[in-house]
Parts: sequence; C-alpha cells; structure tokens
Amino acid sequence: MSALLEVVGVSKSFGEIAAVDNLSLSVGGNEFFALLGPSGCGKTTLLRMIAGFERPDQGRILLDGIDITGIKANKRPINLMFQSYALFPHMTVFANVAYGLEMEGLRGAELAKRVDAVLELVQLSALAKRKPAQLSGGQKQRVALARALVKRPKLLLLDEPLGALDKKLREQMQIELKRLQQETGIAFLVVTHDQEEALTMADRIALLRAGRIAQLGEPRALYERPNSRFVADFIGQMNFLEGMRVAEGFAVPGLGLFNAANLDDLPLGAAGALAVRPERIAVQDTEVAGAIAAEVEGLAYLGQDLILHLRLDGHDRPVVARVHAANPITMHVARGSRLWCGWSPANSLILSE
Amino acid sequence: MSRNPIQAWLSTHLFLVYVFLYGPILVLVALSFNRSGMPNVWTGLSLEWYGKLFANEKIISSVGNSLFIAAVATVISTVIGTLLAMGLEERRPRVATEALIAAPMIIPDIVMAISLLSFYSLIKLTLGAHSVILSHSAFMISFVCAVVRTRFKHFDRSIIEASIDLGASEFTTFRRVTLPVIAPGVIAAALLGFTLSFDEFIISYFTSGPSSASVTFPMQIYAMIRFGVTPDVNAVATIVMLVSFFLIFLSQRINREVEA
Amino acid sequence: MIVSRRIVLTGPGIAWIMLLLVIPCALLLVNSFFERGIYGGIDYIFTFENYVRAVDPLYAEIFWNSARVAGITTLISLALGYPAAYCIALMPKRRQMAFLILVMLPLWSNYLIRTYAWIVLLNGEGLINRSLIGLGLIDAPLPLLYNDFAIITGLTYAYVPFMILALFSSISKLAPELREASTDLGASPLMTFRRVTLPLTLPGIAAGSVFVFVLSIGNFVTPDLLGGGKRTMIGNLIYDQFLTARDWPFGSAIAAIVIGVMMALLTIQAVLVNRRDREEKIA
Repeated sequence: MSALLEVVGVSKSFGEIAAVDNLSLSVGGNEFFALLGPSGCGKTTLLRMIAGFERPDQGRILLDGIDITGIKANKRPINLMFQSYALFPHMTVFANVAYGLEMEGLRGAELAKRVDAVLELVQLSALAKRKPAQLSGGQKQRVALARALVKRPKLLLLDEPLGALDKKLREQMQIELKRLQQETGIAFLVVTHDQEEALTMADRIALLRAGRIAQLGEPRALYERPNSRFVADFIGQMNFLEGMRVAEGFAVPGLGLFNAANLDDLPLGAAGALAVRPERIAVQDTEVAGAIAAEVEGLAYLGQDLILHLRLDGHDRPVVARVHAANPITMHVARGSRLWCGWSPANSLILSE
Repeated sequence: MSRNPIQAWLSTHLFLVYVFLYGPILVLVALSFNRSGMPNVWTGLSLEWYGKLFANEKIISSVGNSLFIAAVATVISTVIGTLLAMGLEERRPRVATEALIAAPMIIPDIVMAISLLSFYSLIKLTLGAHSVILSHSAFMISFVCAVVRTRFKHFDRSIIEASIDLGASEFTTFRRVTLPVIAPGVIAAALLGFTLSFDEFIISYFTSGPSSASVTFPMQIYAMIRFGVTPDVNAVATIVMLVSFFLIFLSQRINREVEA
Repeated sequence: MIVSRRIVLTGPGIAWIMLLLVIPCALLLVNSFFERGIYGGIDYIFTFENYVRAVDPLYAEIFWNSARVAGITTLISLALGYPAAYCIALMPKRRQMAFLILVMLPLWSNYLIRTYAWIVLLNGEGLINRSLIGLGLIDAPLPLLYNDFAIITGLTYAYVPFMILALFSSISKLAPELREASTDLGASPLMTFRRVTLPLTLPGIAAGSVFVFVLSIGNFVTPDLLGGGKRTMIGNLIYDQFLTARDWPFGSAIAAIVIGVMMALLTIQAVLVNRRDREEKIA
C-alpha cells in the first residue's frame, strides 16, 4: 500500500500548550484510518491541519508525495465532514451537495448527475428538496457525508462522524461508513474518542495521547498487544496485577509466579503489571489445580455476559471477569460464592509503562 | 394541588396587565372612529377624522420628513451595525467594547439629545434633516448590531469552514453562505431601526433646527397633543400603531422563517 | 490577518459611536465646568459654580422629586411585572414567545401616542372620570391628570414591559426542579418563593429595576405631557436649561449628574450579577 497522506514531524501549539507534538504518520490510498484518543489529545488539531484550517508550527504534510502544508483549505483535494455537520441551513439537501461541485465550475446536467448519484449512494434521493432543519440527525449526517464525497476527494476527513447519533443508529452507521469507504475507494481518516467505533471501522488506528502517538496499528494489535497501560486501559477493559520480573517468571505479591506472552521482553528486577482482559479470565466453581481461589464481591448482569468482581485470595485489589451467559456457573453464582479462576499465559501481557 | 389557586391568581394578574397595556391603545382606536371625536359622547361610527388627517398638510409633510430621515438613517446604521456585529463575532469582545456598544441603547434620550446639540453647535454644523439622520444613526447602530448578533448566536461557524473546505473563496463564502444565513436578522434589524427612527422624538426635537423640512412626524404629534385632547390625533395614533405593529410583526416573521 | 479583518468590520461602528456618543458626552462634561455666556453661549472660564448650584435646595428638590417618582414607578412596575413574568415563565415553552411578544408590542408603538392615550383616559372629562361618575361612585371628577399620579401612571405604563422582559429572562432560567425540590423538602409555596425563587431571581429584579429607574428619572415627555409642567423633573429641568433659559453649562452639569447616577446604578447591578454568577459557578 503506497502512502497517500504523509504527516512528517508535525507540531502545533496554542500558547504554552503543545496540541500536536512532533507527530508523524502515513495513511494508505484505500485505507480506513482512525485517530483515536481522549479529548484534548490533539486529534482534532491534527485533523484541522490536514484539512488546511490550521498551519503546523513545524513539519510537513504531503499528499501523494506533494507538500501541501502551505496550500489553503479550499485548494486541497481533501474534504472534511464536520462534527456538527455544518450543513448550510438556507439550502436544500441538493443545493448543499451541489455547492462543492459548483465551486469547481460544474453546472447543469453534469452537476445534477453527480449530485443524484451521490444522493443515491447515501440513500437520500427522496429527500433532495428538503432543508436541513427538516431532517433527522442520521439524515443530516448522511447529507454531510454526501456533500464531502461528491467532490471525489483523495482523502475524506471525518470529525467525530457518529458523535451526535444515538447508540442504535451509531452501530448501523459504523457498518454503513465502512461500506461507503469500500465502495468509493476513497481513503477515510476518522477522528473519534470512541474506541468501539475505531475498532469496528478502521483498518488501522493511531491512538493519541498528549499530542503524540501512543500506539499505531491494526485494531487487533492494539487490543491484543497494547504497548502501555494507557493503551490497554483506553481500548477495552483491563485488569492490572502489580508485580516484578524475577528469574522464574513474573511475581505478583500474594498470588505467586506468572508467565506471560512477553515475559522475556522484561529485564530482571523490573516492576510492571500483569495485564489480563476480563473476558480472558476463565472462571469455574470447582477447584482445579493451579487455579486461584476467589470470592465474588459483586456482580452485574448484562444479558449476554455476566460481570464478576472477584477478590482473589491473597490479593487486595479486586479483579473483573467477564463470563459468557453460556457458562453454567452463571445460573447460580451470587455474592459470596467461592470460585476458581485462571488464564493462559498467552492471554496475558506484562506492561511496564 | 395547592398550586391551583396560585396559578389562577397569576393568570388573572397577567390578564389584567394585558388589559393595562392594551386598554389605552384600544380606547384610542375606538375613539378614532367616533364621529364626535370626544371620549365622552359616542355619536356613531365615522371615518371623518381619517379624512381630515389626510387633508392636514402639516401632518402629511411631517410624515414625509420622517420617512426620509428614517430611510437614510436605516441604510447607514444597517450597513455599519451589521459589519460591527460580524466583527464582534470573530472573537469575544472586551467588556469595555460591549459597554460602548450598549451605551446608545441605555443612555437617557434627553442626555443624548443635549450632548449632540452641544457637539453640533461646537463643530458649527447647521441643523436640519441631516443632523437628525446622524443623531438617529448613532443609537440605531447599537440596536441593529444587537439584533444581528442574536442571529449569529444560532449561527454554526463551522459552515463557513465547510464552504471553504468545499472549495469556495472567502468572498464567495460571504456571498453564498454568511450573508444569506444572517439576512433575516439584518432585515429584522433594519425594520426595527426604521421603526425606532420613525418614532423618535426627543433627539429629533433638539437636533432638527428651525427648518420645516426637518419637522418630524413625532414632533408634529407633540405639537398637537401638548394642548390636551385633540380628536384628529386618535386617527393618527391608530394608523401609526397599525403600521408599527405590522413592521414588527414582519421583522419577527422574517427572522424566524429560516430557523423553521 | 484576523486582527486587521476585525478592525475593518468593527472600525466604522466603533468610530461612529465614539464620534456621536462618547465625544458629545465628554463635551457635555467639559461644558459643565464653564460659565454661561451673557447671550446664552458658553464662556470658557473654568468654574465649579454649576455643580454648586445643582445642590441648591431649589434644584435638590427637583432631583429628590424625580428620584421619588422614578422610585415609585419602579416599585409599581416590579409589583405588576413580577407575577406577570412568573406566570409567563410557568407556561410551556412554545406559548411563552407569543405572550412575550404581546408584552413587547406596545413598546413599538409611538411613545407620544401611548402617553397621549392617558391624557384621554385621565382628564376631567376623560373616560375614567366619566365612568366613575356614571357608576355613581363619585360626584365630581377626580384630579387624575397633571399631577404625580398621572406621571407615575404614564411612566409605569411605558416601562413595565421592560421590567417584565428582564424578570422573565431571570425567572425562566430557574430550573423548575429547584422549586419542586424545595416543596419536596417540606417548604410551603410562600416559603419556596421567599427562600428559593426570590433570591435566585434577584439579578433580574436588579436589572429590571435599574432599567425602569434610569428611564424614568431622565424622562422628559411624560412629566411634560401628563404633569402639565406643574411638577418639574430632571428631564424638564435639562430641557429648560437648553431650550428656554439657554444656560447650557448648568444644563450640562445636571445631565452629567444624571449620567453619574446612572453609571453608578449600572455598576452596582453589574457587580451584583457578576458576584452571583461566580457563586453559581463555584456551586
């Protein structure tokens, strides 16, 4: 995959605060890329620099190998779908979508054809004559998308595209966005604070923290192999058992020695935490050799899953386990129940930072 | 349940306040159709006073003066006030700036009137319709600016960026996006300004000078009512109120249309 | 780039207001320290005499009378306006606008005409006296016109809409849950009003009162038309100094005092509102 967009050593600060700090990344020509991070991590600033609304203090932005750092927003073959959608309230859906093409000098039948085609694509043909105020949130979102897509940009930027929608619609639109990206072949760069959204849609994710990339990779890599506690905690839920690397393995006070997938990466004597996902903890109600005894302190029923708060014998911090409804123990487990739990070393990691 | 008597009392009170507000106006309207013209005897329905009104040259010419003054002052203050509102929207203005812009709205009109009179006399500006226009524009700008700014409150600034993102220049963005979106606010502001200018009395009175070409309509009314009840004023009052209400209704309507 | 654009946009407006409001007001202040010329002009000789004269009992009485009339007007407007604003604030949102427009509408009809309406209503042969006599409640017409009563009625009539608007904006910001919470905690409606609603709507009361007071105290038309020129208020005094007595410096001094009082009141009100805002932010 050749790089379509290259961000090279870009920095931007507002007053004293460095919003984006010497950041580099590249996005491929047909990629669905997500910039993920908590609010204030610099993801929106980065997006606005790529769109051309902010100028980097340092660094360059290249599109197809051409430096576009100094090119104005209205001259870049990049379009942005705004978080607020930013639909022109005085124009119909059709006129909103046509606007960008008119700016390219397109008129008449050719313009109508392009607009109709893109409205078809987002299933809004029936609403072409409506004004934005007469549309639902989901419909507005699709108009905003159509308006950006119709320009056939090389890169489409989406700022929290699903943020304003309710949960059901959001899940539906995640799949819809993915479909549109594949059908149009345009590279999508989406900014979001919602890890689930990023995991569902993106080919690759860059998780940002304080203006820098905390980790960049495919969704599975970020979830399965987080490189830090921040990443592990931000994406999904994670249990941390504090301990230290000793010769025989990883020692957790009160619980004993553990092995982990990346045990050998950690130098002897280094402190760290053993990280285990709640759903990777196997729980049963009969004693097995090698399993850790635990008591149920609290539980939450989620339908398809049961969340257990477990107090491991000998350990003072509770551990969360997620048990699938199909597991027979869910039938009778209650507060105070004694259980035995464990996990395979392959499903645990040691994180030192 | 204990709220019901309170609610009933509040509603009655509100109703009485509306009676207080509209009673006098309605009395004038009713009297304007009274043949005798006096409030004490009802001698039947008549349009006589309206007929007399249109034969009164002084009234007609003062209406003409007021229309001219209001129209010119409206053009000036709408342009300057709208620009001002746009500028203030770029960044949150300082408190001092806010106070300066609000000042013409809250300063007692008699103070504004004498300060302008002193100023015009100092710079030896001959008084006339032009000085009234200048004076009116000074306070109208503030009102226009305030109305246009309320329009900007509902204005999502990202549509400006969206327009640029879609390839439009700054000027095209202003012409095709910013202006159409704030236009109802600008029109509403202009109508309000026009009404204010047309009704303004004290500042006109002080800054109009002796020329009959600058006797405004409110000045004419003042001259008529200073001597107590004069029946032809009722007809004038009715027409003026109807026109004012219509203009305000229109401005409200226009300002709300796009939001719907 | 943004800075210069902003200046281009705001420049004309600011300059206009500077030229036609700030400079004339400053001029007024300057003139108030000069002597009156023999033929009504201004002699540029520095003096405090105008301010000394302003506190002379003759004029102090006019100040006092104006403040009294404006104060009574403010209190009556408050008494009329508060329940009205409260009632509108209790209505469902979509109905509020219509009722507020009904409140505002009279403001957009000519002030002179609205004042004239009260001459028609209040005079000896007027509708109110006629009705009262007709009903047999009184034998001879009451002296309703050309006195303080008429002035206060006229001023209240003119300015109560401002009071209602100011109060409404304050009352409508109050979350209904607060009243419900107070009731839930056992307070009677009166107690809830006194301990919750009233303190929280104080900024609105202050804003509305300052507005009505300032508009009333500087008014010229209403005392002139409804007071019949018998009772002079500050507005008339200023008018006289400028157009009759032609003592501009003295008129300027009085106007300067009015502006000073007004600015003091507005400052107090702004400080009150500011402090309240800060407290609420902390809470």
